[in-house]
Amino acid sequence: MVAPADWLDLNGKVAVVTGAGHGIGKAIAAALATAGASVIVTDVDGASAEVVGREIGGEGRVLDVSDSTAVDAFFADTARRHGRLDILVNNAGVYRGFGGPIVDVTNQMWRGLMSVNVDGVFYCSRAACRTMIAAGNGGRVINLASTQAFTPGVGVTYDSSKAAVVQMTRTLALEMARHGINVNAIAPGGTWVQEGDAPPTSAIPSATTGEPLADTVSNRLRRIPLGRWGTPDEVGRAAVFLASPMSNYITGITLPVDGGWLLL
Amino acid sequence: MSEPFEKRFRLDGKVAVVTGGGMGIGRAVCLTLSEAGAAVVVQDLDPSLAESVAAEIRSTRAKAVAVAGDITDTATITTMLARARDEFGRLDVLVNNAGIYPFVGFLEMPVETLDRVLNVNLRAVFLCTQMGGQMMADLGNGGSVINLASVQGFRPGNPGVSHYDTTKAGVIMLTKAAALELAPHNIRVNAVAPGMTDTPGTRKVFQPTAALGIPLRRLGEPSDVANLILFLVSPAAAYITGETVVVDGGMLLK
Repeated sequence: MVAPADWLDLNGKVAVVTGAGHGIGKAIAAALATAGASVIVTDVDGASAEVVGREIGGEGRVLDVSDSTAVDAFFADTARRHGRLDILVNNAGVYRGFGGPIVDVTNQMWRGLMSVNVDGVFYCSRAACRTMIAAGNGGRVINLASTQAFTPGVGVTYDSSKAAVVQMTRTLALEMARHGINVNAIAPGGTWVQEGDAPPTSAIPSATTGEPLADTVSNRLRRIPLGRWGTPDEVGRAAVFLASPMSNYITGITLPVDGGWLLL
Repeated sequence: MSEPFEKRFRLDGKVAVVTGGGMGIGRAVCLTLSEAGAAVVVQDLDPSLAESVAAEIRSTRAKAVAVAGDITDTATITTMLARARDEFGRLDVLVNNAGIYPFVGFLEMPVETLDRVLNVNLRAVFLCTQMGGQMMADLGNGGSVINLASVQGFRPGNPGVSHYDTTKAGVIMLTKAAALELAPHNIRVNAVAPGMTDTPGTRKVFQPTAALGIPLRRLGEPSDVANLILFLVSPAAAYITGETVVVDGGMLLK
């Protein structure tokens, strides 16, 4: 039986969160730090990683997850300096500017998004699993998927990349179970990541563009069952749950934090 | 949400009703929700089991009462919900845990057995969610319902539980439909889907070698399920609704 005081305690654990210089990644890093973990904040924008790292009492490092050489070097360096790695959160991901309808997607857009959202998860997971397996202390990998893995709408590139993350989660979970490494994913829905309070979702105009991708996203947001955008902090709390002893028996799942998006 | 971190996962001042709370997963849920600060109404078919768990909670100086009765009887549902409201003044959490799994082959199954399993595992869950949801809506404080599904709502189990598997698939969809209709009242409805969990009930039916095929190499503990339920009913999960969360040590991955 896991005692109440132990439920959420991440003291002594070392966590890496990618793409944590802003938005959901930043909220995840902050939540893990509040739960007691030593958090290494990484971002392709090194300056933002350093700012957030300082803010949460951890450290910040620049890391482009689409660069496998840099990823391998980063995880080797982390293992050397911290002596352990317990939690990897594959949060780094892109979605804006990568085209919607397939006829508008260029090769660079496709490759550019896949290199971060899929290759990046692969490179970081591989490096982290090597480290964790060698250390023999188990661990946690938490991937950021999306409701768009299940309900198309943003674009063929983004949606497909998130479906890949869901299945990577399941296959890795099966493979890593015997090493005591639990692998799960979180699927945020409409999350307000910009500055300031989120506007009411009811104010989103009903779809009139006639473009099926944009219209389906607008219509879902407008009708979201819990009636509001999600917050980055709500994704952060789900990450703490999946990183903590409370979820010891959970592996291979994708947990939506979506206000009922998937019910529509 | 700006409440202190440790409070986001707690239920202080809240009231929970747990069906089938007398043993196994139900008992673990009662104890866990109590440790997180909730007052608990322990419902069970067996009066002495219900009272024993309530007494166990009261011995920690937390609040609990027992309600005995058959969950397929709407009078029992009315009584347990009223007990929460009258004894503790509110209703925040309902955990529909009561369930049965008599093993009978598909071709041999008597209609009476089929009906009993449908009534306990699905019909009663519907009615509890409906009546509990109505009370929560009337009280106006929102709330959270958790239904016990199973990995066997996604994939059939060994021969002998076709009725059970069917009810668990039904619970998964009931959870989604109820979540959609109760969302305007700020009531979230989710389900948990345990795999092979070691309880007094399952010890009678599991093979000793059952754990060997599970990726995490052990059977689930009741506390594994109870901890997940605590997360789902806590303020930390305020944006999660309509979901069935699997807690199976990786069984469904194989």
